[in-house]
Amino acid sequence: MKKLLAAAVMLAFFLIVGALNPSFASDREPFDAAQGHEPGTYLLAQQGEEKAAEADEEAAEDEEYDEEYDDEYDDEYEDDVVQINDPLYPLNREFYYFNDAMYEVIIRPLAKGYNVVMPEEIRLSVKNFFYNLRFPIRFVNCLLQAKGTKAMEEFATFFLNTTVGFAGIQTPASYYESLPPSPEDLGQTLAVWGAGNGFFIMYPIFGPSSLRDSARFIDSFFLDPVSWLRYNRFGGYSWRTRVAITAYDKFNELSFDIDDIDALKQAVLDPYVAVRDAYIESRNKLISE
Amino acid sequence: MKKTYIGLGVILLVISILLPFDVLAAGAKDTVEAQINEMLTKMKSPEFKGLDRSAKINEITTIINEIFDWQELSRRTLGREWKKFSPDQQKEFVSLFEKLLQDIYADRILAYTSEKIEFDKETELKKGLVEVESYIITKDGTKVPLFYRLTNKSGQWRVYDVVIEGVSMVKNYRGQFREILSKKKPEDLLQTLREKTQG
Repeated sequence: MKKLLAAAVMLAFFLIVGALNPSFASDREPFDAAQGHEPGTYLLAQQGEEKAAEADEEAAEDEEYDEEYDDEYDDEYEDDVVQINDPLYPLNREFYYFNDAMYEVIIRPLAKGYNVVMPEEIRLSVKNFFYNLRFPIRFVNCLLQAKGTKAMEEFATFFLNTTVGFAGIQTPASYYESLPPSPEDLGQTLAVWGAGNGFFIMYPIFGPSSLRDSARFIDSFFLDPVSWLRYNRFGGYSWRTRVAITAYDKFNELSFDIDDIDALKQAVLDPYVAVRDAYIESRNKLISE
Repeated sequence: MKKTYIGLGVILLVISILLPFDVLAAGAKDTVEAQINEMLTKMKSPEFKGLDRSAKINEITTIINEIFDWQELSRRTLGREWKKFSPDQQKEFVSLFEKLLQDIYADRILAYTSEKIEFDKETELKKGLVEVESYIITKDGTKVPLFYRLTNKSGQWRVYDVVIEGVSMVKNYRGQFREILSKKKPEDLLQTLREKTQG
Protein backbone atom coordinates (compact mmCIF):
# COMPACT_ATOMS: atom_id res chain seq x y z
CA MET A 1 0.00 0.00 0.00
CA LYS A 2 2.84 2.34 0.90
CA LYS A 3 4.48 1.61 -2.46
CA LEU A 4 1.30 2.47 -4.32
CA LEU A 5 1.12 5.74 -2.44
CA ALA A 6 4.74 6.50 -3.30
CA ALA A 7 4.05 5.85 -6.96
CA ALA A 8 0.99 8.07 -6.89
CA VAL A 9 2.98 10.87 -5.27
CA MET A 10 5.74 10.62 -7.89
CA LEU A 11 3.23 10.61 -10.71
CA ALA A 12 1.53 13.64 -9.23
CA PHE A 13 4.90 15.36 -8.95
CA PHE A 14 5.72 14.85 -12.62
CA LEU A 15 2.28 15.97 -13.70
CA ILE A 16 2.36 19.10 -11.55
CA VAL A 17 5.84 20.03 -12.74
CA GLY A 18 4.68 19.43 -16.29
CA ALA A 19 1.58 21.53 -15.85
CA LEU A 20 3.32 24.44 -14.11
CA ASN A 21 6.17 24.93 -16.52
CA PRO A 22 4.81 26.19 -19.82
CA SER A 23 8.06 25.34 -21.63
CA PHE A 24 7.30 21.69 -20.98
CA ALA A 25 4.32 21.69 -23.19
CA SER A 26 5.89 23.89 -25.83
CA ASP A 27 9.06 21.96 -26.54
CA ARG A 28 7.59 20.63 -29.75
CA GLU A 29 6.09 23.87 -30.91
CA PRO A 30 7.78 25.92 -33.61
CA PHE A 31 10.07 28.77 -32.74
CA ASP A 32 8.29 31.98 -31.82
CA ALA A 33 10.10 34.85 -33.48
CA ALA A 34 8.77 37.30 -30.90
CA GLN A 35 10.93 35.72 -28.22
CA GLY A 36 14.03 37.11 -29.85
CA HIS A 37 16.00 33.90 -29.57
CA GLU A 38 15.00 30.34 -30.20
CA PRO A 39 15.21 27.45 -27.73
CA GLY A 40 18.11 26.00 -29.69
CA THR A 41 20.25 28.95 -28.62
CA TYR A 42 18.79 28.84 -25.12
CA LEU A 43 22.14 28.26 -23.45
CA LEU A 44 23.92 30.90 -25.43
CA ALA A 45 21.37 33.50 -24.54
CA GLN A 46 21.46 32.50 -20.91
CA GLN A 47 25.14 33.12 -20.58
CA GLY A 48 24.95 36.86 -20.36
CA GLU A 49 23.43 40.16 -21.35
CA GLU A 50 25.78 40.81 -24.24
CA LYS A 51 24.63 37.57 -25.76
CA ALA A 52 21.13 38.98 -26.02
CA ALA A 53 22.37 41.56 -28.47
CA GLU A 54 23.98 38.79 -30.47
CA ALA A 55 20.70 36.92 -30.51
CA ASP A 56 18.94 40.00 -31.89
CA GLU A 57 21.54 40.21 -34.57
CA GLU A 58 20.94 36.60 -35.37
CA ALA A 59 17.21 37.19 -35.58
CA ALA A 60 17.86 40.04 -38.01
CA GLU A 61 20.03 37.71 -40.04
CA ASP A 62 17.20 35.22 -40.05
CA GLU A 63 14.87 37.74 -41.59
CA GLU A 64 17.39 38.59 -44.23
CA TYR A 65 17.86 34.91 -44.87
CA ASP A 66 14.14 34.37 -45.18
CA GLU A 67 13.82 37.09 -47.78
CA GLU A 68 16.71 35.81 -49.77
CA TYR A 69 15.74 32.16 -49.86
CA ASP A 70 12.02 32.27 -49.35
CA ASP A 71 11.12 31.14 -52.83
CA GLU A 72 13.90 28.69 -53.45
CA TYR A 73 13.91 26.88 -50.12
CA ASP A 74 10.45 27.54 -48.84
CA ASP A 75 9.90 24.45 -46.74
CA GLU A 76 8.77 23.69 -43.23
CA TYR A 77 11.70 21.30 -42.75
CA GLU A 78 14.18 23.80 -44.03
CA ASP A 79 15.51 25.45 -40.95
CA ASP A 80 14.22 23.77 -37.83
CA VAL A 81 16.36 21.89 -35.36
CA VAL A 82 15.24 19.52 -32.62
CA GLN A 83 13.71 21.59 -29.84
CA ILE A 84 14.73 20.57 -26.35
CA ASN A 85 15.73 22.45 -23.21
CA ASP A 86 19.15 21.45 -22.00
CA PRO A 87 19.94 23.40 -18.82
CA LEU A 88 22.20 20.61 -17.55
CA TYR A 89 24.23 20.83 -20.74
CA PRO A 90 27.77 20.85 -19.22
CA LEU A 91 26.96 18.01 -16.82
CA ASN A 92 25.12 16.02 -19.49
CA ARG A 93 28.09 16.34 -21.81
CA GLU A 94 30.44 15.06 -19.12
CA PHE A 95 28.15 12.10 -18.48
CA TYR A 96 28.02 11.40 -22.20
CA TYR A 97 31.82 11.21 -22.33
CA PHE A 98 31.81 9.02 -19.22
CA ASN A 99 29.29 6.63 -20.79
CA ASP A 100 31.21 6.62 -24.03
CA ALA A 101 34.47 5.76 -22.25
CA MET A 102 32.71 2.93 -20.39
CA TYR A 103 31.38 1.69 -23.68
CA GLU A 104 34.72 1.83 -25.48
CA VAL A 105 36.84 0.38 -22.68
CA ILE A 106 34.56 -2.23 -21.12
CA ILE A 107 31.30 -2.93 -22.95
CA ARG A 108 32.41 -2.92 -26.57
CA PRO A 109 35.34 -5.37 -26.13
CA LEU A 110 33.15 -7.62 -23.97
CA ALA A 111 30.35 -7.55 -26.55
CA LYS A 112 32.79 -8.32 -29.38
CA GLY A 113 33.92 -11.42 -27.51
CA TYR A 114 30.38 -12.34 -26.53
CA ASN A 115 29.26 -12.13 -30.18
CA VAL A 116 32.02 -14.55 -31.17
CA VAL A 117 31.25 -17.06 -28.43
CA MET A 118 27.47 -16.86 -28.36
CA PRO A 119 25.56 -17.91 -31.50
CA GLU A 120 23.19 -15.27 -32.84
CA GLU A 121 20.17 -17.56 -32.39
CA ILE A 122 20.77 -17.75 -28.65
CA ARG A 123 21.32 -14.01 -28.33
CA LEU A 124 18.10 -13.44 -30.23
CA SER A 125 16.23 -15.87 -27.97
CA VAL A 126 17.51 -14.04 -24.88
CA LYS A 127 16.43 -10.72 -26.35
CA ASN A 128 12.99 -12.07 -27.23
CA PHE A 129 12.59 -13.67 -23.81
CA PHE A 130 13.20 -10.43 -21.93
CA TYR A 131 11.08 -8.41 -24.35
CA ASN A 132 8.20 -10.80 -23.80
CA LEU A 133 8.76 -10.82 -20.05
CA ARG A 134 8.32 -7.02 -19.86
CA PHE A 135 4.77 -7.35 -21.20
CA PRO A 136 3.23 -5.81 -18.01
CA ILE A 137 4.94 -2.45 -18.73
CA ARG A 138 3.50 -2.26 -22.24
CA PHE A 139 0.09 -3.61 -21.26
CA VAL A 140 -0.48 -1.33 -18.27
CA ASN A 141 0.69 1.74 -20.19
CA CYS A 142 -1.60 0.91 -23.10
CA LEU A 143 -4.44 0.85 -20.58
CA LEU A 144 -3.31 4.08 -18.92
CA GLN A 145 -3.40 5.74 -22.36
CA ALA A 146 -6.85 4.23 -23.00
CA LYS A 147 -5.51 2.41 -26.05
CA GLY A 148 -7.87 -0.56 -25.79
CA THR A 149 -7.09 -2.17 -29.14
CA LYS A 150 -3.36 -1.89 -28.61
CA ALA A 151 -3.72 -3.43 -25.13
CA MET A 152 -5.59 -6.37 -26.60
CA GLU A 153 -2.99 -6.79 -29.34
CA GLU A 154 -0.25 -6.73 -26.71
CA PHE A 155 -2.08 -9.35 -24.70
CA ALA A 156 -2.57 -11.57 -27.77
CA THR A 157 1.11 -11.19 -28.67
CA PHE A 158 2.16 -12.05 -25.12
CA PHE A 159 -0.15 -15.05 -25.01
CA LEU A 160 1.00 -16.39 -28.37
CA ASN A 161 4.71 -15.84 -27.76
CA THR A 162 4.59 -17.26 -24.24
CA THR A 163 2.77 -20.45 -25.23
CA VAL A 164 3.61 -21.28 -28.84
CA GLY A 165 6.85 -19.31 -28.64
CA PHE A 166 8.27 -21.25 -25.65
CA ALA A 167 8.18 -18.58 -22.92
CA GLY A 168 8.84 -15.87 -25.46
CA ILE A 169 12.10 -17.05 -26.99
CA GLN A 170 10.36 -17.36 -30.35
CA THR A 171 8.09 -14.68 -31.80
CA PRO A 172 5.24 -16.42 -33.63
CA ALA A 173 3.15 -13.26 -33.19
CA SER A 174 5.44 -11.37 -35.58
CA TYR A 175 3.95 -13.38 -38.47
CA TYR A 176 0.68 -11.54 -37.95
CA GLU A 177 0.59 -8.09 -39.53
CA SER A 178 -2.32 -7.29 -37.21
CA LEU A 179 -0.10 -7.71 -34.12
CA PRO A 180 2.49 -4.96 -34.38
CA PRO A 181 4.71 -4.41 -31.34
CA SER A 182 3.70 -1.38 -29.28
CA PRO A 183 6.60 -0.29 -27.10
CA GLU A 184 4.60 1.79 -24.62
CA ASP A 185 6.03 3.08 -21.33
CA LEU A 186 5.21 5.57 -18.58
CA GLY A 187 7.14 8.37 -20.30
CA GLN A 188 4.83 8.05 -23.28
CA THR A 189 1.79 7.79 -21.04
CA LEU A 190 2.69 11.08 -19.34
CA ALA A 191 3.21 12.65 -22.77
CA VAL A 192 -0.24 11.51 -23.87
CA TRP A 193 -1.61 13.03 -20.67
CA GLY A 194 -0.07 16.34 -21.70
CA ALA A 195 3.37 16.49 -20.05
CA GLY A 196 6.26 17.85 -22.14
CA ASN A 197 9.80 16.57 -22.03
CA GLY A 198 10.85 19.13 -19.44
CA PHE A 199 14.55 19.01 -20.15
CA PHE A 200 17.09 16.56 -21.41
CA ILE A 201 18.98 14.35 -18.97
CA MET A 202 21.97 12.18 -19.81
CA TYR A 203 22.16 9.63 -17.02
CA PRO A 204 25.45 7.95 -16.29
CA ILE A 205 25.13 4.27 -17.31
CA PHE A 206 21.39 4.53 -18.13
CA GLY A 207 21.94 6.95 -21.01
CA PRO A 208 19.68 9.56 -22.61
CA SER A 209 16.36 10.51 -21.06
CA SER A 210 14.30 13.54 -20.13
CA LEU A 211 12.66 14.71 -16.94
CA ARG A 212 9.38 13.22 -18.09
CA ASP A 213 10.90 10.01 -19.42
CA SER A 214 12.61 9.47 -16.05
CA ALA A 215 9.21 8.10 -15.06
CA ARG A 216 10.34 4.94 -16.83
CA PHE A 217 12.27 4.11 -13.67
CA ILE A 218 8.87 3.74 -12.03
CA ASP A 219 7.92 1.29 -14.77
CA SER A 220 10.93 -0.88 -14.19
CA PHE A 221 10.49 -0.67 -10.41
CA PHE A 222 6.88 -1.85 -10.31
CA LEU A 223 5.97 -3.46 -13.60
CA ASP A 224 9.16 -5.21 -14.68
CA PRO A 225 8.90 -8.87 -13.58
CA VAL A 226 12.68 -8.92 -13.10
CA SER A 227 12.27 -6.38 -10.32
CA TRP A 228 9.78 -8.65 -8.56
CA LEU A 229 12.74 -10.88 -7.76
CA ARG A 230 13.40 -8.77 -4.70
CA TYR A 231 10.60 -10.69 -3.01
CA ASN A 232 12.13 -14.09 -3.59
CA ARG A 233 11.65 -16.59 -0.78
CA PHE A 234 15.24 -17.76 -0.64
CA GLY A 235 17.29 -14.71 0.20
CA GLY A 236 14.72 -12.04 0.88
CA TYR A 237 15.75 -8.79 -0.76
CA SER A 238 18.09 -9.73 -3.58
CA TRP A 239 18.80 -6.54 -5.53
CA ARG A 240 22.12 -7.93 -6.71
CA THR A 241 20.40 -10.67 -8.68
CA ARG A 242 18.04 -8.15 -10.14
CA VAL A 243 20.81 -5.77 -11.21
CA ALA A 244 22.82 -8.64 -12.68
CA ILE A 245 19.88 -9.92 -14.73
CA THR A 246 18.92 -6.47 -15.97
CA ALA A 247 22.53 -5.68 -16.87
CA TYR A 248 22.85 -8.94 -18.78
CA ASP A 249 19.61 -8.24 -20.66
CA LYS A 250 20.77 -4.75 -21.67
CA PHE A 251 24.22 -6.04 -22.60
CA ASN A 252 22.72 -8.80 -24.75
CA GLU A 253 20.47 -6.28 -26.47
CA LEU A 254 23.43 -4.01 -27.13
CA SER A 255 25.43 -6.87 -28.63
CA PHE A 256 23.30 -6.58 -31.80
CA ASP A 257 24.07 -2.90 -32.25
CA ILE A 258 27.86 -2.75 -31.89
CA ASP A 259 28.53 -2.32 -35.62
CA ASP A 260 25.77 0.26 -36.01
CA ILE A 261 27.11 2.23 -33.07
CA ASP A 262 30.64 2.14 -34.46
CA ALA A 263 29.45 3.35 -37.86
CA LEU A 264 27.31 6.12 -36.41
CA LYS A 265 30.08 7.36 -34.17
CA GLN A 266 32.29 7.52 -37.23
CA ALA A 267 29.68 9.53 -39.11
CA VAL A 268 28.73 12.22 -36.60
CA LEU A 269 30.64 15.37 -35.73
CA ASP A 270 29.23 16.15 -32.31
CA PRO A 271 28.11 12.81 -30.84
CA TYR A 272 26.51 14.39 -27.77
CA VAL A 273 24.22 16.66 -29.80
CA ALA A 274 23.53 13.84 -32.27
CA VAL A 275 22.48 11.43 -29.50
CA ARG A 276 20.41 14.04 -27.66
CA ASP A 277 18.48 15.17 -30.74
CA ALA A 278 18.00 11.64 -32.04
CA TYR A 279 16.67 10.52 -28.65
CA ILE A 280 14.12 13.34 -28.52
CA GLU A 281 13.02 12.86 -32.13
CA SER A 282 12.57 9.11 -31.87
CA ARG A 283 10.63 9.54 -28.62
CA ASN A 284 8.38 12.10 -30.29
CA LYS A 285 7.63 9.57 -33.00
CA LEU A 286 6.84 6.82 -30.48
CA ILE A 287 4.54 9.16 -28.59
CA SER A 288 2.68 10.12 -31.76
CA GLU A 289 1.91 6.46 -32.48
CA MET B 1 -10.61 8.20 -94.08
CA LYS B 2 -7.11 9.60 -94.31
CA LYS B 3 -8.36 12.87 -92.93
CA THR B 4 -9.68 11.13 -89.82
CA TYR B 5 -6.24 9.64 -89.12
CA ILE B 6 -4.55 12.98 -89.52
CA GLY B 7 -7.19 14.52 -87.28
CA LEU B 8 -6.62 11.87 -84.63
CA GLY B 9 -2.87 12.39 -84.91
CA VAL B 10 -3.25 16.12 -84.37
CA ILE B 11 -5.50 15.58 -81.36
CA LEU B 12 -3.03 13.14 -79.82
CA LEU B 13 -0.19 15.58 -80.42
CA VAL B 14 -2.10 18.40 -78.76
CA ILE B 15 -3.01 16.22 -75.78
CA SER B 16 0.55 15.08 -75.27
CA ILE B 17 1.76 18.67 -75.31
CA LEU B 18 -0.94 19.81 -72.91
CA LEU B 19 -0.33 16.94 -70.48
CA PRO B 20 1.56 18.16 -67.44
CA PHE B 21 5.12 16.93 -67.34
CA ASP B 22 4.65 15.17 -63.98
CA VAL B 23 2.21 12.66 -65.40
CA LEU B 24 4.74 11.44 -67.92
CA ALA B 25 7.75 11.42 -65.62
CA ALA B 26 8.11 8.55 -63.12
CA GLY B 27 6.80 9.20 -59.62
CA ALA B 28 8.99 9.59 -56.57
CA LYS B 29 8.21 6.17 -55.15
CA ASP B 30 8.70 4.36 -58.44
CA THR B 31 12.04 6.07 -58.94
CA VAL B 32 13.57 5.36 -55.55
CA GLU B 33 12.06 1.87 -55.30
CA ALA B 34 13.49 0.92 -58.70
CA GLN B 35 16.91 2.30 -57.76
CA ILE B 36 17.06 0.55 -54.39
CA ASN B 37 15.85 -2.74 -55.88
CA GLU B 38 18.41 -2.43 -58.67
CA MET B 39 21.10 -1.96 -56.05
CA LEU B 40 19.92 -4.96 -54.01
CA THR B 41 19.72 -7.19 -57.08
CA LYS B 42 23.20 -6.13 -58.08
CA MET B 43 24.53 -6.90 -54.61
CA LYS B 44 23.10 -10.42 -54.78
CA SER B 45 24.82 -11.20 -58.09
CA PRO B 46 27.81 -13.55 -57.99
CA GLU B 47 30.06 -11.04 -59.83
CA PHE B 48 29.45 -8.49 -57.11
CA LYS B 49 30.11 -10.98 -54.32
CA GLY B 50 33.45 -11.80 -55.92
CA LEU B 51 34.68 -8.20 -55.64
CA ASP B 52 36.87 -6.97 -52.78
CA ARG B 53 35.49 -4.48 -50.30
CA SER B 54 36.75 -1.26 -51.85
CA ALA B 55 35.46 -2.29 -55.29
CA LYS B 56 32.09 -3.12 -53.71
CA ILE B 57 31.97 0.28 -52.09
CA ASN B 58 32.83 1.91 -55.44
CA GLU B 59 29.97 0.09 -57.15
CA ILE B 60 27.50 1.05 -54.45
CA THR B 61 28.68 4.66 -54.38
CA THR B 62 27.92 5.00 -58.10
CA ILE B 63 24.32 3.96 -57.47
CA ILE B 64 24.02 6.10 -54.33
CA ASN B 65 25.04 9.18 -56.31
CA GLU B 66 22.14 8.53 -58.68
CA ILE B 67 19.74 8.33 -55.73
CA PHE B 68 20.84 11.35 -53.67
CA ASP B 69 20.77 15.04 -54.50
CA TRP B 70 23.91 16.03 -52.58
CA GLN B 71 23.69 19.72 -53.39
CA GLU B 72 20.14 19.96 -52.06
CA LEU B 73 20.90 17.76 -49.07
CA SER B 74 23.94 19.82 -48.05
CA ARG B 75 22.13 23.09 -48.62
CA ARG B 76 19.26 21.99 -46.41
CA THR B 77 21.51 20.63 -43.72
CA LEU B 78 23.35 23.91 -43.29
CA GLY B 79 20.09 25.84 -43.49
CA ARG B 80 20.68 29.47 -42.59
CA GLU B 81 24.36 28.80 -41.88
CA TRP B 82 24.84 28.25 -45.63
CA LYS B 83 25.45 31.90 -46.35
CA LYS B 84 28.16 32.12 -43.71
CA PHE B 85 30.22 30.02 -46.10
CA SER B 86 32.01 31.57 -49.07
CA PRO B 87 31.19 30.03 -52.48
CA ASP B 88 34.43 28.05 -52.37
CA GLN B 89 33.71 26.84 -48.87
CA GLN B 90 30.19 25.88 -49.93
CA LYS B 91 31.59 23.82 -52.77
CA GLU B 92 34.07 22.08 -50.51
CA PHE B 93 31.39 21.51 -47.89
CA VAL B 94 29.12 19.75 -50.39
CA SER B 95 31.90 17.46 -51.59
CA LEU B 96 33.14 16.62 -48.07
CA PHE B 97 29.67 16.02 -46.65
CA GLU B 98 28.84 13.93 -49.72
CA LYS B 99 31.94 11.81 -49.12
CA LEU B 100 31.13 11.35 -45.43
CA LEU B 101 27.58 10.18 -46.11
CA GLN B 102 28.52 8.03 -49.10
CA ASP B 103 30.96 6.11 -46.92
CA ILE B 104 28.53 5.53 -44.07
CA TYR B 105 25.65 4.65 -46.38
CA ALA B 106 27.72 2.19 -48.41
CA ASP B 107 29.10 0.62 -45.24
CA ARG B 108 25.63 0.14 -43.74
CA ILE B 109 24.14 -1.15 -46.99
CA LEU B 110 26.86 -3.81 -47.11
CA ALA B 111 26.10 -4.76 -43.49
CA TYR B 112 22.38 -5.12 -44.14
CA THR B 113 22.47 -7.33 -47.23
CA SER B 114 20.50 -10.18 -45.65
CA GLU B 115 17.61 -7.97 -44.59
CA LYS B 116 14.54 -7.45 -46.76
CA ILE B 117 13.25 -4.03 -47.79
CA GLU B 118 9.56 -3.32 -48.34
CA PHE B 119 8.22 -0.17 -49.94
CA ASP B 120 4.98 1.36 -48.74
CA LYS B 121 3.01 4.49 -49.62
CA GLU B 122 4.21 7.91 -50.71
CA THR B 123 2.93 11.20 -49.29
CA GLU B 124 3.32 14.68 -50.70
CA LEU B 125 4.80 16.91 -47.98
CA LYS B 126 4.62 20.01 -50.10
CA LYS B 127 4.66 20.80 -53.77
CA GLY B 128 7.72 19.08 -55.23
CA LEU B 129 8.57 17.31 -51.94
CA VAL B 130 7.50 13.71 -51.40
CA GLU B 131 8.09 11.24 -48.58
CA VAL B 132 8.35 7.57 -49.55
CA GLU B 133 7.94 5.01 -46.78
CA SER B 134 10.05 1.88 -46.73
CA TYR B 135 10.67 -0.73 -44.05
CA ILE B 136 13.69 -2.87 -43.35
CA ILE B 137 12.55 -6.30 -42.20
CA THR B 138 15.22 -7.65 -39.86
CA LYS B 139 15.94 -11.31 -39.18
CA ASP B 140 13.72 -11.44 -36.10
CA GLY B 141 10.79 -9.98 -38.04
CA THR B 142 10.85 -6.42 -36.69
CA LYS B 143 10.14 -3.59 -39.10
CA VAL B 144 12.51 -0.65 -39.03
CA PRO B 145 10.90 2.38 -40.69
CA LEU B 146 13.20 4.07 -43.21
CA PHE B 147 11.58 6.99 -45.00
CA TYR B 148 13.09 8.75 -48.00
CA ARG B 149 12.31 12.38 -48.73
CA LEU B 150 12.63 13.34 -52.35
CA THR B 151 12.60 16.50 -54.43
CA ASN B 152 12.36 16.88 -58.19
CA LYS B 153 14.25 20.16 -58.24
CA SER B 154 17.05 18.68 -60.35
CA GLY B 155 14.59 17.45 -63.00
CA GLN B 156 14.26 13.94 -61.60
CA TRP B 157 13.24 12.63 -58.21
CA ARG B 158 16.20 12.54 -55.88
CA VAL B 159 16.59 11.95 -52.15
CA TYR B 160 17.43 14.94 -49.96
CA ASP B 161 16.77 13.39 -46.54
CA VAL B 162 16.50 9.97 -44.90
CA VAL B 163 14.33 9.52 -41.81
CA ILE B 164 15.11 6.45 -39.70
CA GLU B 165 12.65 5.62 -36.91
CA GLY B 166 11.48 9.20 -36.88
CA VAL B 167 15.00 10.67 -36.80
CA SER B 168 15.72 12.93 -39.76
CA MET B 169 19.34 12.73 -40.86
CA VAL B 170 19.38 16.27 -42.23
CA LYS B 171 17.81 17.67 -39.07
CA ASN B 172 20.21 15.76 -36.84
CA TYR B 173 23.27 17.05 -38.71
CA ARG B 174 21.79 20.54 -38.77
CA GLY B 175 21.68 20.51 -34.97
CA GLN B 176 25.29 19.39 -34.81
CA PHE B 177 26.50 21.94 -37.37
CA ARG B 178 24.66 24.74 -35.64
CA GLU B 179 26.22 23.76 -32.33
CA ILE B 180 29.71 23.75 -33.86
CA LEU B 181 29.20 26.98 -35.80
CA SER B 182 27.91 28.75 -32.70
CA LYS B 183 31.47 28.54 -31.33
CA LYS B 184 33.68 28.04 -34.36
CA LYS B 185 34.19 29.33 -37.89
CA PRO B 186 33.08 27.57 -41.11
CA GLU B 187 36.75 26.83 -41.81
CA ASP B 188 37.02 24.84 -38.55
CA LEU B 189 33.95 22.81 -39.50
CA LEU B 190 35.48 22.07 -42.90
CA GLN B 191 38.71 21.01 -41.20
CA THR B 192 36.80 18.57 -38.97
CA LEU B 193 35.04 17.17 -42.04
CA ARG B 194 38.37 16.82 -43.87
CA GLU B 195 39.78 14.80 -40.98
CA LYS B 196 36.64 12.65 -40.81
CA THR B 197 36.66 11.77 -44.48
CA GLN B 198 40.32 10.86 -44.72
CA GLY B 199 41.18 7.19 -44.43
